[in-house]
Amino acid sequence: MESTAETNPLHHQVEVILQSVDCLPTLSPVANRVLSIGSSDRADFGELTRLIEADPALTSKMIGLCRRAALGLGDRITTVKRALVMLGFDAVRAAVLSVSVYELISNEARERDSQPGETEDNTESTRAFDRIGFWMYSVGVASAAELLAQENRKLRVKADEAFVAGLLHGLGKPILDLLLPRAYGRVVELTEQRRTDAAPVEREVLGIDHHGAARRIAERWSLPATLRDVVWLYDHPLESLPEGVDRDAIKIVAVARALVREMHLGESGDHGPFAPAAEMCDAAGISRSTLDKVARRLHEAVAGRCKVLGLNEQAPPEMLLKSITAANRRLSQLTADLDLKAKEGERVVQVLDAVAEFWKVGGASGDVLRTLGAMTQSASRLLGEGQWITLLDGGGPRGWMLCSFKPGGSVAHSVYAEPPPSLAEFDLSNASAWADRSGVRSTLAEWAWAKLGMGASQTPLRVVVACAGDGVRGCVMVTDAPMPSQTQDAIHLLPLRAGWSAALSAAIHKGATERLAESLADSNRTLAATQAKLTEVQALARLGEMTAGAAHELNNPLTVIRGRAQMLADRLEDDRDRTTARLIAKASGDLSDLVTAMHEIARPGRADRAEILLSDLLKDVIESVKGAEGHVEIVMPTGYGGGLDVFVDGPRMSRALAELLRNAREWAEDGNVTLRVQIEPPDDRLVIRVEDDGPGLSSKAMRHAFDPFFSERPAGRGRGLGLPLAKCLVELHAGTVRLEPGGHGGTTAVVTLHEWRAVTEREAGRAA
Amino acid sequence: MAGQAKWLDKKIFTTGEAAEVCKVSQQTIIRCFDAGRLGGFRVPGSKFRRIPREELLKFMRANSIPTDALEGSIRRVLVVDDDPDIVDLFEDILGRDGRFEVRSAGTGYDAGLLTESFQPHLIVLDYMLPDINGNVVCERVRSMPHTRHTKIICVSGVVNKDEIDQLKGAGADDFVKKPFDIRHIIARMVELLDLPASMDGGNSARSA
Repeated sequence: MESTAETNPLHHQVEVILQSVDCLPTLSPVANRVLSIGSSDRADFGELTRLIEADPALTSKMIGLCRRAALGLGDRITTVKRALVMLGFDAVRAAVLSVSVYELISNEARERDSQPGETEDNTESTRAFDRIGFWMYSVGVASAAELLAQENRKLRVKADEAFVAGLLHGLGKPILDLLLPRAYGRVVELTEQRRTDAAPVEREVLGIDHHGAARRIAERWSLPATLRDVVWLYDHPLESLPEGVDRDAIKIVAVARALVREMHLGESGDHGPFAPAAEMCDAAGISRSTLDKVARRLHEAVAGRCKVLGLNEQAPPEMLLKSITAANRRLSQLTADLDLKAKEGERVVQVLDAVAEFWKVGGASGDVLRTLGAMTQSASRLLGEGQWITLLDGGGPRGWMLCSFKPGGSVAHSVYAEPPPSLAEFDLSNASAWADRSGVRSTLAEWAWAKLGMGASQTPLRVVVACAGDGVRGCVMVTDAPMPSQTQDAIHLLPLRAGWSAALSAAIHKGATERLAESLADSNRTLAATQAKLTEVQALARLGEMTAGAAHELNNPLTVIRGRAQMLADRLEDDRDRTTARLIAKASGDLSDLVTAMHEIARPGRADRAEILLSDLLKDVIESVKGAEGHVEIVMPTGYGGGLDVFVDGPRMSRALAELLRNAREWAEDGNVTLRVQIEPPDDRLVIRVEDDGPGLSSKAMRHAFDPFFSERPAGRGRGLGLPLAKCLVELHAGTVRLEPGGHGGTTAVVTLHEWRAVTEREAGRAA
Repeated sequence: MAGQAKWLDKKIFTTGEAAEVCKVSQQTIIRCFDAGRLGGFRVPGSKFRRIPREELLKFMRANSIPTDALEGSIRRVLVVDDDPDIVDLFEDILGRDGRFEVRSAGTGYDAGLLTESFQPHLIVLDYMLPDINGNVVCERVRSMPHTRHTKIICVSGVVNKDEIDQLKGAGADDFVKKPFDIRHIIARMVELLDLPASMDGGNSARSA
């Protein structure tokens, strides 16, 4: 056999089958000659008689068939010539054809059977095609078709034509069996198992069905067109037969088939459900009374024909008995099937109930833990009561998630764990691949059981593969419940497992999506904050450019004003004039401070930190605002007293606190202010609160307090740069400052410093 | 006064004159000259020792001998600022004080020239000049041997710690922020020039 690079083995097989069909012997010369004579008009009876009589075996069988066909005349047909005269050319031709084809296939089959060691296919099958049974069935169909054609004149099919069509309609089956007996045995086996017709199984196993094979041989043997149509379309729905075919012949064969199958005559090779013959009659336009008449005469007709063809020596009663036996056998088979199906159905209903329950309980919650809980509940219901735990490999970095559950399905305990080394090669997402390695499975079960602290189990632990794929990397359940055998449930659990997979994957994805959405929202907030900061920085940069220039430009005239005013003050004799001159000098000094503050805010530079005592720093602060009325109380954190070191830019931090203090004293009722220092969790931050007992700020003032030049006081009072400068200087220390309403009225300025301790050498070493 | 004034423009000193200026014996001067501690030269063709003014000043400073006799009590001050109003203010203030002789420059270039010719005791230097920054001027002054001891007070409206550090690094003796208190800046100048602290001291010097 030539080996080709065909990708589809079936395609290759079809080629081989068709070639083999072509290699079958041709019909005998007699049959060929008979077939080549188109009709009786052109028939030379003398020549025909000599031709047929030259083959004695053919002659006797042909005459036998003819005698059976012509009721009443039968006894008088003793020679070929008489048959031709009494029955006509067509009947004889049909008989010759039937006998020739049947003989050819039967002989060929016998011959091949006698050649041992034939292996065209390595498919092993215990079943073989029932040839005798099939030919009996074919003779049944042929006889029924012949009778139907005789009884029904509306369908213009000659009785002899109907007989040949009925006999040879399933010609493809014995031919396929002839060519590939083992493969065809497999077809027979599958057809019986699945309770279906042979054609689809033939296509599946062989790549070609018996219709195709029969049509090929019909073309090769030049069988009449009617026959070709019948072998191709005999089981086609009668309502939709194509144009241009011999529909009447096909209809008769179809009805005959149904009748024979109903009567359990022979073995058709088809096991699929079929429409009752009565219904087929309606579709074919044959009356049901005709059908009844044919049915009554069928056994006798079949017995006679079988005898002629040498199929079986059976009297009609025996044949009837055999039919009844066949029918009973088939009935008991069907009953057994039905029982099995009913049991399966019951189980399927249970599974479907469990699926429905699962979705109701928590499968659709979108929450991983609830979904797992619902999974254990449905498993418990379907596979057995007991403790159920789950192992989920969600693909996260923390390993497998192990969960146990309370009776209601809520999570009792859940832990993340890396599998132990003994299970390192166990892949949860491919757990079904480990189904046959009971050692690994029990190790896994016991490890997980212990990990969740489930205590000793009375029964052996079992592992149920819950799901894999669909975005879930893998989930198995472990239970101490006694379970039915796993093989039986494997298929039934499919819908439930699909539901589990889908729900779990949806829950995991939902969680991931929510996390993504949260981080997106975070990013957006950060982005907005960064943009705001950027805008502020850009504005400050512009302000910085401006104030740097302004500082230089303003300071020179201010120097002149101040210097000249001082000189004037020294020279003037009049006290009032001297005071005026000094005021001028002082005002120019204040103006200079303002310019300096603006410059500091705009270009803060960097903090020049050093370790100093907090108490010294606060002393400086109070010193710088002395002169105002009221009292400043300092509250240090307990346990520190005055001995607390801070690592800050002393002058700048002092300036910042001084500005806050100055504001607080202006807001306070009587100038009394508390400076409260605390060290607070979570990171031991240093918090300095400047509390006043004043009337408090409006929300607008609170909001804008740190804007440069904002002041709620009447225009002309206060320069409004104190708080912005304080904020700027605190931020220079990576700290924050904010205003909040005080506990007992008033306002509290809160300075928070996260980095206020000197970095120890050890930490510096680690940072490096 | 006249006795002191006679040395003011003298460029080359004999050992006798030097002894008078330093208020020590001539033998001491000769010994120091011969030992190389006092720089100078001998008149070509004779063994007479001659001492240039700069070498004498150097010797006096090195031995903590008051230089009043040589230089008078008037201190030369160079004000460097591109703002004429500021220059006017300094001239006015320092002129009234009486202890200072004031010259001014508006650019770093002029400041360099005047430092050479005027030989100021102290320079009041604005940090931001039209051509170069104050720290460059500081470095130049410090790099020349005969101006190395000139005092420098920087003044600026910009208070930037980095810039102040840079100025101090370049050799400025002090930094005063504009606008300044005139009493404060004069006090700093008096201190740096080692003058008697009080205004009265200045007035007495003027009246003396």
